Amino acid sequence: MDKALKPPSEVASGNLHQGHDHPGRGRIGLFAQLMFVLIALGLLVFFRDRAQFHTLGIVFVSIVLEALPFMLLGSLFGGLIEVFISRETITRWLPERRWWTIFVGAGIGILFPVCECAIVPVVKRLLHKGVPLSAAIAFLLGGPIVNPLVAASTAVAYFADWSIVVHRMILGYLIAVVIGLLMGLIFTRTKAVRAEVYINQFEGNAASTANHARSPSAGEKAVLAVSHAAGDFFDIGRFLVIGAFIAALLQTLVPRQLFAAAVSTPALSILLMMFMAVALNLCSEADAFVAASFRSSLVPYSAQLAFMVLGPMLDLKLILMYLKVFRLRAIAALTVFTFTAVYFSMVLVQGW
Amino acid sequence: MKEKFKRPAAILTACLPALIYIIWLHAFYWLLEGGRYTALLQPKLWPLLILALILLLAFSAAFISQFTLKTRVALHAGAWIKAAILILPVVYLWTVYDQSLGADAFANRFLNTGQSVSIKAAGLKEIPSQAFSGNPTTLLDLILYPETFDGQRVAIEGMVYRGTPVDNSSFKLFRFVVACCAADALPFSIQVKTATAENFPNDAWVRVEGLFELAAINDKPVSSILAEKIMPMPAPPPEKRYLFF
Repeated sequence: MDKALKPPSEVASGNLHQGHDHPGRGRIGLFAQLMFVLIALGLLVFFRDRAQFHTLGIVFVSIVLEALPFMLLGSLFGGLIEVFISRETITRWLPERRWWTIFVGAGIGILFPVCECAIVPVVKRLLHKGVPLSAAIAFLLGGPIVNPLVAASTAVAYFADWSIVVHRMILGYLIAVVIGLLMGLIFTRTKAVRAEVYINQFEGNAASTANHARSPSAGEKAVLAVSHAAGDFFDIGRFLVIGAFIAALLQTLVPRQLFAAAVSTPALSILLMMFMAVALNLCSEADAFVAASFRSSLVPYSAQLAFMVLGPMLDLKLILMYLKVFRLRAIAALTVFTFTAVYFSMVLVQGW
Repeated sequence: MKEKFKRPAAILTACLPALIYIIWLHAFYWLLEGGRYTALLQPKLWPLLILALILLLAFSAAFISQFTLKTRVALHAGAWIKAAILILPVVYLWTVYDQSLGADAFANRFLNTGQSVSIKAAGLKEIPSQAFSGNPTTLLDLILYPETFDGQRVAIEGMVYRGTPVDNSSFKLFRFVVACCAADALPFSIQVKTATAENFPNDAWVRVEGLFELAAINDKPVSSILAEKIMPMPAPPPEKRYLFF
């Protein structure tokens, strides 16, 4: 266990100023975020009496309100992992270069049922603690699908049609395993994970507080864990907000009828439903209700399944949240691999 | 002079996370008070909001208890932008709270399932003279259990949606049904047929009393109400506007 710890206030304020991999890119990012704030406030000032603005505002706020508790919880789990679970313990449980860790990672959601908003801060801390990249990615993709709460909500939405529940769980698991494996083969940890996640900050802390000789008490560690969580939330929370806003904008402007229009061409229908999953940013515990609503429009089974498998793995808010964990190239690869894997799996399901 | 200004600004920057947690804490408390959150979320989700409240309280306490003026934080634009982004949903919450999803969202989300049928002439004559309870049922009941209500007189409340071209003798009565939050709200609607021309505009809240009919068109069950009486009604408070699964 790490013995020398930085005071929580410094941890939280340190997180305030976590840098970007590249200073120039960081400035562009900040500028983009500033523009986002100005546009969002501009819409509020100039269009607040329009019906479309009301839809935008309601959808935006409700996505954030629904996701925020999960994100806070995920941040807390991340903080607890950071402080209470040592690197050695993690390496003992999930050693590097062991292929079976991917299978464990993809299925861990059964024991640790979290939605996709909670999982990003947890994965960030797990990577920091030395969990193998492939296992962490398998958990990131599989966790929000392969879990009992999602299975239950899918069963309710589809009136206890257990075949779709089983298909969703199995395909979610397999795709998470394949992508985890692929990412592990292509990327090393340093090439995939952002520097501030990869570098063990505690080691830095130890150097800066070398005069703290005694082990911290359980209470001090608990406060530190909460402070880490608070810092993570302050740092990653903005991506949830931006993603939710873009999703709300798309929900307001793009009619759903458009996605149901290609029912006669299953391959196109799958593709459209996948784009919709990315755009809507629905919680994995609620998306089955929206998918089920497309049954009456004769949207193919495979396209409904594509919507439910891709959404928890990849949507706008998740892609933005990944920015705090992975490097751009890794996010691009993860996005392309996941999208392609889901698409071809669903084409196979359609053919079968 | 510059230094004099710099230090309080730096301290304020260092305090930003606590400020954000406290603002969100207040927002969650406000939503829980009197069940306001049901204007946006499924009522069963209250434990989640309590959880968020507790966690935000813990985050604020941990931050404040450890905060020291010795904390060295530069005046950093990034921290202010992060804070502004995190506050944005709260600003929107207080701006749109009184509003709800309406005809605009209905048109966007409605997937034509064949509910609309042509108007049957003289349909009102067929209304059986059954005892009328006066209690409104919900669109969800009518759509999920149509057989139960087939041929029954019903009273139902909802919003008006008139498609284009406008047909004065029929409209869709709709409500949104929420699974988790308003983002996943599904529009449930029923065709209301009237003997006389009505001109209730889009988004108007009305109470419709009449005969519920379940017919098969192209082997698809299609439900409608032959309206006997349509009365305008005030919009319910925001927390009563949606139905929930």
